Amino acid sequence: MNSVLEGTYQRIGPVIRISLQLISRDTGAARWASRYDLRADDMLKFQDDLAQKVVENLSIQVSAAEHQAMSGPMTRSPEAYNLYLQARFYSNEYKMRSTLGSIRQGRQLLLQAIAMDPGFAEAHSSLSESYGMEAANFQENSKENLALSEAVAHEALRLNPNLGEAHTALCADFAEIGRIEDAIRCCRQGAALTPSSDYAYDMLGYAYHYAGLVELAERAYSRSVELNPTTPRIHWMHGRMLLYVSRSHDAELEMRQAIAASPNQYRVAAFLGEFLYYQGKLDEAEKSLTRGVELRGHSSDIAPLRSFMPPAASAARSMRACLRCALSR
Amino acid sequence: MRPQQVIDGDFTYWLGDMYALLGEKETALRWLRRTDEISNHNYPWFERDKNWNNLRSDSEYQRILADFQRHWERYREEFGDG
Repeated sequence: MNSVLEGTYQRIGPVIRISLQLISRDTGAARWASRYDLRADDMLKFQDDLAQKVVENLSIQVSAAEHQAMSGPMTRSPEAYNLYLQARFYSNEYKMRSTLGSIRQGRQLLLQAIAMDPGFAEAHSSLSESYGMEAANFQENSKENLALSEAVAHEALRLNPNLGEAHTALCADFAEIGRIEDAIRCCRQGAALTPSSDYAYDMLGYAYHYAGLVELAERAYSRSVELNPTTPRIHWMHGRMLLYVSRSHDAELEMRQAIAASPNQYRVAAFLGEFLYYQGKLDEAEKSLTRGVELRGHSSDIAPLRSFMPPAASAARSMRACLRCALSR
Repeated sequence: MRPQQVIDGDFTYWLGDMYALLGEKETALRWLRRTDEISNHNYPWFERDKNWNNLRSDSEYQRILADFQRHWERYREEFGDG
């Protein structure tokens, strides 16, 4: 991450005043700054203008499809766009907190956005991602959610065949239904169309790891972390890939950084425990795994099941009880 | 919950390796077979994961692992690795 986009907004009657500056991380100097006075109808064009300005001032790779996307609004409905942006907040919140409620709140907003503009391809793509995330991480109705995710991804691609996010969403579905070759091809296309998307590399790495192509998986996740290091999720996913390429100590270090930023995230604690366990650091692992269980509370999230992996054989009884509890859901 | 009801390949594998740790061989193998069916074929990790050490000499375990290897080699041929 070399630059930060900083901004403030102020609502004055019907006008929204936005002040922005793009700041260099290395020097702290502003690369570019500007102020806009906007009314509701100006918001869509403003987003496109802003994206162009940011790209002009950064040395980032933007594909032809991304350039094309920036040259026109995603939707002509400001209300639908506003709902879509709010849904993105919840998508990010899920990646921070792993809460099912975040996925479902975001989904309601996307369904409303699509009801307002049925041709809104990006909203379909995000909706597909939402169903796919729930299917992969929560067992209840997982087959139904996966089918919905695939159907909505196909609709997004029908609306816009060059939408990288939709290829990526479909890739995640293919990986989950066992069509690994299709998943990898689809994810490669998604990453080629949106080379600055952390999600594209996240899902590409996910598909590679199911294929056992662990070196490629690690590299894809490394790129995803580089593009967006802000969510704990991307760190435990990268940590898992580091474990698979025999770099469990690096995985531990990555999780220690993540836990400093997100001390109450149960998956971070659980995966740190796992990486310690595989290095034979059993006492430390047990503390971290126990912490993961405590923080998990009553969530039906399946990943922290790993937290019940006992470093000590004496914990076998509680492990059996936890397995029974999880599998009875 | 039965293995056929679960669609996530990480979850099925994790359940399998926990049963392997507990020494419940048949249940562990059921979840490992399901992992194979739904195409989590992470052979480089599976063959090294210490949680399965007690089953290494089991013929059914070896058969499933050979299937993972066969898939992995096909993916490597098509997509490369590294």
